[in-house]
Amino acid sequence: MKKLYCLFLLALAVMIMAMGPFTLEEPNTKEALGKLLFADPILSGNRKISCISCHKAEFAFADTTAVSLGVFKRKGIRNTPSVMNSALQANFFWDGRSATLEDQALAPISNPIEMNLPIALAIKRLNKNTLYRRAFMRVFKEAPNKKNLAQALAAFERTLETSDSPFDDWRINENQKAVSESAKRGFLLFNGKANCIQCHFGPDFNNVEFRNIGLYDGKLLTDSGRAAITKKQEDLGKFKIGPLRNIAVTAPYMHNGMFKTLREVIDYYNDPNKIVPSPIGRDPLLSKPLSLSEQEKQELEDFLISLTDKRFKVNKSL
Amino acid sequence: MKKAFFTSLMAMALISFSFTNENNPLVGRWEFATKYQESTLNILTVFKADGTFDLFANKKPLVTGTYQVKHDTLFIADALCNANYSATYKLKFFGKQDSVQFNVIQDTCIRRKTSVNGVTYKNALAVK
Repeated sequence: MKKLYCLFLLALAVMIMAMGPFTLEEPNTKEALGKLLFADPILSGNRKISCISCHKAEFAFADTTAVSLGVFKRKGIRNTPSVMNSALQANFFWDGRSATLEDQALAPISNPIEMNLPIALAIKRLNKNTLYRRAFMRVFKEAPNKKNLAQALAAFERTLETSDSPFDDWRINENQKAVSESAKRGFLLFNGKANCIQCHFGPDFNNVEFRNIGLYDGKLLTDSGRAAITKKQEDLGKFKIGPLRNIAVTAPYMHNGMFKTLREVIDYYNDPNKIVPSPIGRDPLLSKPLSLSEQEKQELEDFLISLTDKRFKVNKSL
Repeated sequence: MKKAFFTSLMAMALISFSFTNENNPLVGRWEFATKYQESTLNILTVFKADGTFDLFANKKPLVTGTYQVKHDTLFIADALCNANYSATYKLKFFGKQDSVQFNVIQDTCIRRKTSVNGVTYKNALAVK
């Protein structure tokens, strides 16, 4: 009898635990719903991966490999960009093929080498799921559809703004101790000798342009970038200028993830010909070596590290 | 004697500092808000007494540079446009200098001109 009683108690505990997911706090806002969807494998064809599989929160919602793996470990062709600080961006993806966050948000879901789930099927799944159906009804006053799925994901992405780096503290609060003297000199180099500011300006240190920085040579480096979208010869090898906030935690770098460290990036810009000797259509801004000394390279790197939001740990002291 | 000399030096420094501020009504924090895509863009410009300024968008540093005010004219330069070229803007203050409008006199930098010309900033302290 005692044994039976124990078994009954155990069964009851299992039942309560199984009910757990149904008693989770359900999202009440677009942002909260988007956050839930962002981490849910329901949006991938094989239900194995989610947005967060490649946009890892601890790495500023970027990935740590040159290219990410999609469903069935299918290899992507471009480095996963951070989705943080997207609110003020004018275009999305390395080739800028999406003009809005809403449009961007749906593309990886249906991409066969990423999440591989046609949007119509994704909507069908969400409508069959009690939690999501209820949540969409509550937030949007309608059942899940393509438009509100995009809205929810984009709304979450817009919450991922960061403006609390040591650099911000230095500039906005005039806290002179927030960054090292080396980082301050690096900021001067960034604005001066190193010429970075010509492309990396604005609240997130990029602008709305596309530039060819010399990573297209038609032989080993064959990603045509923006030209594949616009079909214009002059856009060959051009890519979106990458934002620099939290750059220290989003290695590797460039559209193909070919540089493993910030120092490699700085070395490249210092003398691009040493790395890619025969580029096609490289921007004239990079026509001459910068002739940075080792100390200046370090100062630039220290400045870039100072753009890391305080929520992320950086091994190097600022 | 030495002490008196240093005291008078310090007094002179203080006087010149306050003189600079009095003659430069732009020193301080100025802000305005605008719409950008789905978001609100809060622009804050901090004009410092040392002749430098910082411009922030949603608390993120956007541009840094140098400036000078002579009478009602602003001379402004930044590395983004050209650190060695000073654009000129007419300053028009409103009320008890609680807001200011920038009207271009000469600026060859289109990027700056389109985002500054005609914009009215409110004094960040006055609007609190």
